[in-house]
Amino acid sequence: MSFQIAEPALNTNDGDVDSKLICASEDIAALTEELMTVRASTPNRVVLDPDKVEQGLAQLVLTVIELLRQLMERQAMHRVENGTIDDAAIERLGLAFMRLDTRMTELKQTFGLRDEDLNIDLGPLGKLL
Amino acid sequence: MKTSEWDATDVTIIDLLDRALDKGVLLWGELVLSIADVDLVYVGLKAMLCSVDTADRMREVAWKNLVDSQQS
Amino acid sequence: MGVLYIYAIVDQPDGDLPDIRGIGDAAISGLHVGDLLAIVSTVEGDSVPFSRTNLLCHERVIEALMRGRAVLPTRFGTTTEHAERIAKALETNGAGFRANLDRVRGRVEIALRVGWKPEADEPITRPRAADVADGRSYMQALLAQTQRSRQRRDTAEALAAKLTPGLAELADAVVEKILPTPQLLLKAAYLVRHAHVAEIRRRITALRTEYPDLAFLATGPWPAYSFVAEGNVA
Repeated sequence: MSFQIAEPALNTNDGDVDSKLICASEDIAALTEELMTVRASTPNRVVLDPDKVEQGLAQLVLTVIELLRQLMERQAMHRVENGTIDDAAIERLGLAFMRLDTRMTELKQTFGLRDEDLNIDLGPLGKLL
Repeated sequence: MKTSEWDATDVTIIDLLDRALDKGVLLWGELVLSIADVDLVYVGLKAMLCSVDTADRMREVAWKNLVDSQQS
Repeated sequence: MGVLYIYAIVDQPDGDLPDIRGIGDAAISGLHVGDLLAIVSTVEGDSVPFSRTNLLCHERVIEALMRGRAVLPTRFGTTTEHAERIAKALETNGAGFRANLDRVRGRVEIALRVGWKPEADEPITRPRAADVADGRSYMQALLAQTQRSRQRRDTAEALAAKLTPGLAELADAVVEKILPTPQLLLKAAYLVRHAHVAEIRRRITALRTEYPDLAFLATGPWPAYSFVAEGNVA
């Protein structure tokens, strides 16, 4: 494959996509994998498959729960690092988070959702998690 | 996966895909929830949600195009 | 019954449109509101299916418009039944669109992705409740994960800081994200004037040689997709 450093035109070569590769390393597997996690967007329509309505709605709800869970964990870590929390509270919090983790695993399984599914793209707001 | 296995065009098309689907002007930010071709709920939001189905389908299409072009 | 497909918002509403067909080989036309022009075509049905052909067509129309105009490319698949809706969007957000047109005039987008393999090469994973004995252990595991993540992010930021200054200085605007995924050190877009495109391409290619352990993917020039999304939603 050759890379031509041609004189670039202001007008981006009129949609000639072939000429738009500037450089690419040999091992771009990781990069292309990331490219492959494309999120589609029909700009204003969320289509819920009639057979999978529950899953679609569960996905929304569980994503919000997951967001809150991670926020709480982060805050807890903050407190642990600052030393503003005693051992007994650490144990209680740990148990609570463990229960939450178990519950989330069950819920994901029930609705056939993977970890990646709970990372909805909110457009301008960016990914939640 | 090595670069030599990919056509330059494919890689740039996927990059374009990523760009044109995710960015660019967002003219209106409302949302319509729809089941069985029936628009049911209108939501005024400055956000967009993605249908799992559509995302999967698009991933498949993009992937299939790549595979096809590699075999040609 | 068709709908209107919108390709871009452009300036110079009185100028000629390029001689290019839109999606489904339909003619393109302009919807004029004040000093702004929305470029549209009519498509069959109520949405445009995603396909390689349609995506390329979308892109080609936008790039043809860029000859001699400032162009704000829309997101692929933007359609509406009613022209009034477009007119309203242009009126409501006119100031924002005009400001963005000024920002992108005479400039293109150069995209860069840099992949890495962090030395630990162990994925940093969340602890699972099933794997620990008690609450305290869970919290310890969580803390360890937090600290490793933080260290990795610091390493990533330091490395990215070595890569990007030479590129950012050539750009009028920059969008950079460190570690959007664990394997991606950097994802960036640079808004670059015509005069600087050749040099930024040279510098990116030079970085690839200078950092053989990193994976580089750079493409462009593109229309300024990454620089027009903000401030355009009513």
